[in-house]
Amino acid sequence: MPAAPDPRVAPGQIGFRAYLWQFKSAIVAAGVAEAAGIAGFGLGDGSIALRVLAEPEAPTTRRLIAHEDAALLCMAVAPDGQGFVSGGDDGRLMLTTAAGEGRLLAEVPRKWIEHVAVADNGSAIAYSAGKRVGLLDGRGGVIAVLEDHPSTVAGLAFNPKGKRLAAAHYGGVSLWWVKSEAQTPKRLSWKSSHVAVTWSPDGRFVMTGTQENEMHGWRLADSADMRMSGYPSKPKSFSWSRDGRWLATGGADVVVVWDCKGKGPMGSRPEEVNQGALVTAVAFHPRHSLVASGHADGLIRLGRLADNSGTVLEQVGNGPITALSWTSDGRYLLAGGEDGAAGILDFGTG
Amino acid sequence: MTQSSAAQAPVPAPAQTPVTVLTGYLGAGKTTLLNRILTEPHGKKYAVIINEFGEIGIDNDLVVDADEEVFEMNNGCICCTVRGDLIRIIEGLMKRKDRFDAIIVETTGLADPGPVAQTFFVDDEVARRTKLDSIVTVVDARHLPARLKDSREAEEQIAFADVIILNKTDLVSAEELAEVERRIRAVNAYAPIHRAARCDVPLDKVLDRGAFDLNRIVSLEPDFLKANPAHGEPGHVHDEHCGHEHDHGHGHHHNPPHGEPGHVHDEHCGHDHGDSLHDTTVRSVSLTVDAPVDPRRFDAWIGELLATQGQNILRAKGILDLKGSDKRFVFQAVHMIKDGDFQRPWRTDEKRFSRLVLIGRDLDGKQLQQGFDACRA
Repeated sequence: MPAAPDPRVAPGQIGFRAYLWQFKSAIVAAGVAEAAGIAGFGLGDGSIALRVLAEPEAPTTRRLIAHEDAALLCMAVAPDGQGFVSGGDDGRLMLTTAAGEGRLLAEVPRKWIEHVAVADNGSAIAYSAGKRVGLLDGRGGVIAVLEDHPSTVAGLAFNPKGKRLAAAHYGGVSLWWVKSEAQTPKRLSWKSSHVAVTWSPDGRFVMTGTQENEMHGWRLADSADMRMSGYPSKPKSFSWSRDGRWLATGGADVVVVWDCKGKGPMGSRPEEVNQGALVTAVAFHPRHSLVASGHADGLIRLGRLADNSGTVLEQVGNGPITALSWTSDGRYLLAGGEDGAAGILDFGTG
Repeated sequence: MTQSSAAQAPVPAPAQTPVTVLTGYLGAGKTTLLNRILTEPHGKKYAVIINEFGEIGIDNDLVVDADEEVFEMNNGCICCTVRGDLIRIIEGLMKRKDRFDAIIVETTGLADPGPVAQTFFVDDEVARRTKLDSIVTVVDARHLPARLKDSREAEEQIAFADVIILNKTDLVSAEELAEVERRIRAVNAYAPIHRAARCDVPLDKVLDRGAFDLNRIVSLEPDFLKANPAHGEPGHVHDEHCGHEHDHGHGHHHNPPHGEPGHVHDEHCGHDHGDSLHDTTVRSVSLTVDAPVDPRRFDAWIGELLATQGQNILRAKGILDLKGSDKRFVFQAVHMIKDGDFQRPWRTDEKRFSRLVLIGRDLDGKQLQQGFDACRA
């Protein structure tokens, strides 16, 4: 049985089953702790709602308090796939296992931990609080604290091997090595407030979204700048195709997909899929050229890059979609919204 | 005031959380006012954003301390600066909206209110989730004259204000108080001034003002008119509403001579308002046209004006009688960011007019009036 949507089938013909829940607090992030088989929705009220993937119809949803009496501001799947790492406005970086154990990984008094990133290979964790970035190894041991940023860090991204970290801020991006020795960051400069960052799977590009509603990129080989404008809103959600060729972005009323082969996307005409309300979240299918998008009106769409065809999959609440992610096998799609609506779409129904 | 023109399917707009900005010099009494707002029994919960911890503690569960980060927008508009810290924090606060009903931003004494105000119009996400209710400036009756001498910010905070709390009035004489009020009026003729000893003003004068709500622009008369002693009485401030001809040719109009007690410095004094006699360079200018205005001419003129002088124009508001419309057109701007819309219809019993008030630095009232005059239909 194919465990994912078949790319040969038109998006409108793809079968799936949707399971929906409504929480009282905004969904901040969603991800699957795959080793534990658990989907987690990080909620604004400081808790993480857990669903067993294999038991979508189970009547109860487990709730674990990750940040007591505080807001959860960011969340990522833990390196070992057994739980979640989250940051809160209590200044705490917590590891919460699917089994229900909580562990304090870092604390920055009186600051918010606003961003967290986990390297794809699970080798490192990074978090930011104000101008500070903390680097931890995959087990939570401290590697380094990096203070040298010109302003508050607004986004974090590891390179594919987890050896380097990009931190976005006003004026550009700082690139750090994941190591404990003292270091000076390499700065990629562009006068703008950079509000989100991503590193291409082939390691060649670092891309940001800016306050001025643009994408900015740097080709690392020669630090060449790339500007991609025309967005009506800030592009803050990015997702790469598995081969690293395509970068899907939110921030317009259509998913804007840049072709990053060769010298990069600047000057090229992007592909467009999933026309609708403002795109607030994007997620490339991990295996096929299919792009899922979440929109400001709560709709989830699926589009096929090959012929720009697309379809509405589901309505997940009525507010902007804030979280969207596929499991690595591409069978399940998790979605969550600002109004607390959450859903799991199962494409493995044959 | 968002300028995004994206044609998108309508998105259900969540209720916008009101934001009150408290500005004022260090020691003026901002925190005292803040604590009053937080502790009075109004049943409302506030999230408070501060940029510095003062000596007085803040009596609230949800206090966010953030470093002030002013960012210049890289969009070709040099005065388009925003507060990056506010954008982030408001976004973060909104993840747990159930914790509060309204937001108060307490700026540092040295903060420029411009970027704070602009943040609420420039950032789409902030504009979607919140609405700027008003800018409240607390000034210290005793120390304001010195502050106006040594700080540009003190002047800007008054210029930007929708409401001014003139605090510590018990520490000055009646003459000093009158002089301080006169100086405030010279900068900002439109914001109501509330005298207070320990920020003891009714909170309904401070909260829920809707100062940036186009629908609530009802009149553009200088505030002192409402409490202005009658013509001929001591303390009366002469202006275009006195009922006597505002004759620019013989312009002393009952004003005691320059240097005499009671003299009001104005455009007729003959001295430059930026000189040492005056420590303020910001003033309020009111422009009036008593005939309908041509919409296209006005658009072109105000667009050009804000593009070229927007840096100096801190705030602007207008009510316009546009030719071809039976509705009042209301207008406002913060620096170069402008916003306008049709409001209620003109009443049959009301005299139509077009008035624009500008608060700004180095404004040439005569030239501005000529420009506005040329917009007549």
